[in-house]
Amino acid sequence: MSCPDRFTLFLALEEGSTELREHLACCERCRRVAEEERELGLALERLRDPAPPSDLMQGVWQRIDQTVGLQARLLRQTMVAALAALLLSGGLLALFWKDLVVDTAVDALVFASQAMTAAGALGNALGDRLAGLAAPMLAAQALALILSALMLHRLLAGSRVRS
Amino acid sequence: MVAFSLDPARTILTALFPAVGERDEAALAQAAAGGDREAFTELVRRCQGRVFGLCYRLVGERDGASDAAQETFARAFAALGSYDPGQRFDVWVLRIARNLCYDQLRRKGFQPALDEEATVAAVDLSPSVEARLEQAQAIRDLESALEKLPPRDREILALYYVQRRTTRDIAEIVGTAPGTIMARLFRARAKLRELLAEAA
Repeated sequence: MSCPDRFTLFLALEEGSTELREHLACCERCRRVAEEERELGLALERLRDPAPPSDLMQGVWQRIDQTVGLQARLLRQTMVAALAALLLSGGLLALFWKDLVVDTAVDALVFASQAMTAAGALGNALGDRLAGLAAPMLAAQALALILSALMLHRLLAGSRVRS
Repeated sequence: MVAFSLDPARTILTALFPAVGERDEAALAQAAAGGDREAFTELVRRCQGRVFGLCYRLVGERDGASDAAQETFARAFAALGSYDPGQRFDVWVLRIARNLCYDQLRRKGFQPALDEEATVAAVDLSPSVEARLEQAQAIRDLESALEKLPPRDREILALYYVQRRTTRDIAEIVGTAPGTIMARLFRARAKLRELLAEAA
């Protein structure tokens, strides 16, 4: 082996190359360079990281809980804002375009009823595998009908009072 | 009724076969992702030394490193859903820590000096007083030269020599090809050698 450049020598040292070891035995110059490299490596290996602070774990959980709390608060605020916007827009629609609202509500009611009936029929037609869905679907259908009827009743009552 | 504890048996089993006594990190991460706080606490306990160490080497002071390490684990917790169990958990967390520290350094626009207290803890207490003082001085000189290096050189030296990571792990943490690590290490060492020579 001829004298390697410093990088090759460093790589060979890290790999523990026997070829390099044989070369170092008969080359004073490379032996000196290898010794320098080895000493630097040993010195670096003596370095230690400081121990983490004892309250690190506590700080981690505080941050996590803060983030989770913030997310929950944001979600709540978003839901409240969305509900308020929905109620406001519904109120405005009912105030200014009550006929349109009533017509739309009736259409929606009819559509929902038809959709639920179709879904229930489909569920029954699919047989035993989906039989379990039939009862919840019928219950949902009944609930939707009751809610729609209540909404319609309130809308009509409101429009009567205003007019 | 006689109470029967499995603890001694578990201790012996753990000593002989660590995997029996300790859940592996992938299983812990999976449990933590499902809301198991104890599992995540265990993961933090296992990795905090390495994460804090890297943060310290990059940020350069204890408070900043502690802050970065805490934020690293908080982010890791939030991102557990995207953690690939095929990957080493500590490598994954160290990558988060590294990116976070670089963000902090970029925001601050400077690299603060390293505390000197780390050097004291590293001194080997077995040799004579004189040898210990010499060793302490050598380590202080080395730490002082290290702090003058750019973060990219500091991190590679810290991961390879202080944390004894493989080049493959380091490549994953710093997001580069494994083949480039030894060249980066060589360059960092060359710079360090120059700084040490200047100081001498």
